[in-house]
Amino acid sequence: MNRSLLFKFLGLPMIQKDLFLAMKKTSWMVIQIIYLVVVGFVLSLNILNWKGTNSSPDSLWSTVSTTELVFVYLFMQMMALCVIFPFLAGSTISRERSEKTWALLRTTSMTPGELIRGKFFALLSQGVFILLISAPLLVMMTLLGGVALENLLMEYLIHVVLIAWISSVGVLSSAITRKGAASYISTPLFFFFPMLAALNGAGFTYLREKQTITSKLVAFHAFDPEAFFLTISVVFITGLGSLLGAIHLTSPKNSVRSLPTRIGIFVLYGYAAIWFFVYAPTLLKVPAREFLMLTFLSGILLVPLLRIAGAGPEVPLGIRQLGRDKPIASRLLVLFTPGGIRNLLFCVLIILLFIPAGLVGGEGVLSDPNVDVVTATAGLDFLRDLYFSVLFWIASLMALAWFLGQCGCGSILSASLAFTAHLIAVLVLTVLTVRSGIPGWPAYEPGLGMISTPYNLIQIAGTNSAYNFQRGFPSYFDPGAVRMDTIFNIVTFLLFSVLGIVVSVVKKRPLFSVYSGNDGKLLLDLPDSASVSNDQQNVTDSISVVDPDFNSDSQNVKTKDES
Amino acid sequence: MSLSSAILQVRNLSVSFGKIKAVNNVNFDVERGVIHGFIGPNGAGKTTTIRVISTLQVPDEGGVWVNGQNVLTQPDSIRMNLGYMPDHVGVYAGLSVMEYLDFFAMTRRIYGPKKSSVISDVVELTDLGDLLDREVESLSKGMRQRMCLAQTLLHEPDLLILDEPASGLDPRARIEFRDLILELRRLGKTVFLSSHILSELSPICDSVSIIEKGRVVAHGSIDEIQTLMSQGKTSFDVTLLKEPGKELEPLLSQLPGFMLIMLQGKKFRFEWTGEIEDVSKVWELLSTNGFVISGISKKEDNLENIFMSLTTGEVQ
Repeated sequence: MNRSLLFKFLGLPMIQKDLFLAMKKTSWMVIQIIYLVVVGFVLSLNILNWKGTNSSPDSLWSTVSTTELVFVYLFMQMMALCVIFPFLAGSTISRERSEKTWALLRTTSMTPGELIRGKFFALLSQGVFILLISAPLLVMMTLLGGVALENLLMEYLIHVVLIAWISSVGVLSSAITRKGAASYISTPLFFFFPMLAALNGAGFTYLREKQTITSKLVAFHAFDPEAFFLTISVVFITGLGSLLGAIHLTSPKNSVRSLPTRIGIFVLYGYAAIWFFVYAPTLLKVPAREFLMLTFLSGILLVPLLRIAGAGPEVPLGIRQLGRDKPIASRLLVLFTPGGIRNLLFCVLIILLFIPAGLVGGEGVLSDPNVDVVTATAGLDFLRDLYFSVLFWIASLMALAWFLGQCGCGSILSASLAFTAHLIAVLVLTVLTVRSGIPGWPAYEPGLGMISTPYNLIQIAGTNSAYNFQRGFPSYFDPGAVRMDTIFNIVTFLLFSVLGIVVSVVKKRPLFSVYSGNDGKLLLDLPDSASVSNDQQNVTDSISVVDPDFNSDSQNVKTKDES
Repeated sequence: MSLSSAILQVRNLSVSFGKIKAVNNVNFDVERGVIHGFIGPNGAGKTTTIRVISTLQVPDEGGVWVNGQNVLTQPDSIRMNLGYMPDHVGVYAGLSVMEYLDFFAMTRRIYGPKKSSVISDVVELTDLGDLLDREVESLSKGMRQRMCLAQTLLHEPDLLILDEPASGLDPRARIEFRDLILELRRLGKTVFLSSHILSELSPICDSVSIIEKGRVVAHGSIDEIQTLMSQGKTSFDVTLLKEPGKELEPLLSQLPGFMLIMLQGKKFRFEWTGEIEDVSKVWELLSTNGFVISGISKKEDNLENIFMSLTTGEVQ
């Protein structure tokens, strides 16, 4: 790889500049000093606690206290990463916007992809630098005994992955917000739950079990490699997806980049679907409550697609030109092309990727001789029911978002309104349920209360066990029973799809064609200087100051689409 | 590629922000190697138009071509040949001038020995030699403008887009900056600069576009616009030795082509629509009737007068 390609891939000028500025900042020095103080403090405590045994060279320091020292230090390090790093990452682009340097960068030869990759690698480098400050001390303690080197390296690897993940999501958060102040407010929202989970996980394992989170994870993953694969997959998909999202947000909106972006999104979801398919045969090994979380996860994983479903009906100009210049490639990639009904079809296509996982989910467990087939089959039906219910729910949301997009709402507004409508439905159903005064969980009975999938999931999560719920209400979960929420989701999907088509027809927009009448006024090719619109002539005539070129002949400009 | 001699072509350009149409069906060309002034009051749509030309903003309608390349479909190629200086120059606190230029050279894919040579050239051109080690934060506004101009020149673009470059500069810095722009034209660059300081643009611009409320209300060279504005009329201010009576207007109105515009004390202003050499008949008639002329001045339609005539000062 030559230097130029390396520069492009890494966004090297951006890395160099960001690192250089970071090194010069006082706050950067303060962070390093805090780290050194923490390390020094816990080290001092450990030395004071030195038992002075001399049975072996390994016990120069107490093995127990050295282990604790490392645990304390690693916990502090993770806490610091979770608290400080989101703010560092979340302001990386918005700070440039505030300082009016972002516009300058966007007119340079660096592409949005280079700028975002440069920002990401600069943040990653800063994070790794923080980690390396104390590495020599930790290695020294490892050599003195108490902590296995491989455990320490694994812990560091996890911290590096955490930094990479925070950096990518932080860059996305920063790309979304326009102002520096807004990014400081929105960043904690982005990271609240992951931060809580990481700190809780790290703190709990240390305080209760005197273990690092690594040792817990390693033990867990050694037992369940699929879970390890799940963790890595989720981190990879959300991290890479965040970077792609940031590139998309910082690119001009009417550009051909939306085509590779959609292909990238398709690949990422395809990867997730494959994982679900591979992992699905062992789903029943997962406890019910965790499976419920997994079902939520699959639903949440698809929520970002709402923005694509609710995107405007226009086709980016670059893609229209691609359709003209390379018609075969354009036809092959038509489902990845934004605009019209393709926005909805693309999302449905991604949902379809997840269908095989639902069909084969848990089948493997039935062949296990130690499993009661009747119970396992009942459980399997229950889990499949939940899984497909979530997929139908997302499809219904997408149809609503698409309809709103056709009505002229922007992609963010359409997605927000569609999601909000369902949240309000959940709230209303909850109030109705409470007011009904029926003891127990009246919403579980077949009726209006069951039309909302998220409401049902919340109710199920509220019970002690999904299986208890299943046993208590057989009428609802009987094999072959038709669920009210599934019917509701299918009906609303069809309803909003048809309504969206009606809106398109009324507004005379092509549904499937990449040539949209609404952006016909965007000019693809340079028209003759003589042929400009009547409007210009009227303006110039009215003041008697004209450019002869613009006055000689007045015709509407013909775009390539029209010609 | 366009065969036109114009380096910049704007056709039917419209940009809206919500219900406000910031740029409304704008058309103009900028010829290669000229200094083109883009004039308009605040809020007229200058910066929005410039952002579209600089590939930072997507239009709603119409199109912009730089060197025959469309800003929508070939933004990367256009950036290779365009230098953009925004109205508010952003600087990285903590970098020196040299580091700033070094960074922007790399963002323009200029590396190695060529980088040093290019930086050295633009530093010499913009007279930044004594400031290379200074932190950009410590620079005055004029120095920052020169530094930002230097970074726009690193990749040797043909077209320079300067948004309000003289805004906030002291008189000396303005003159220095004006000289720099003239030097760039001499080097063959096309300079497209927006401003509302008309006195700065008049002496250096080869052509102008006047924009108000998102529409171009005049476009062309200053001479062309002056000619079109005057519509064959020439105004004169005359000062007499003594204050004339009411007999002045009927006396002079017998001359075809004479129209009295204003009479105030010893001074009066008139418009002459006849042949310009025939205006001497006015002076002869005045002398014949005992009026002594103490001063005559021909009223020029300068850029400021044109601007005031064409614009109303309203914003959208």
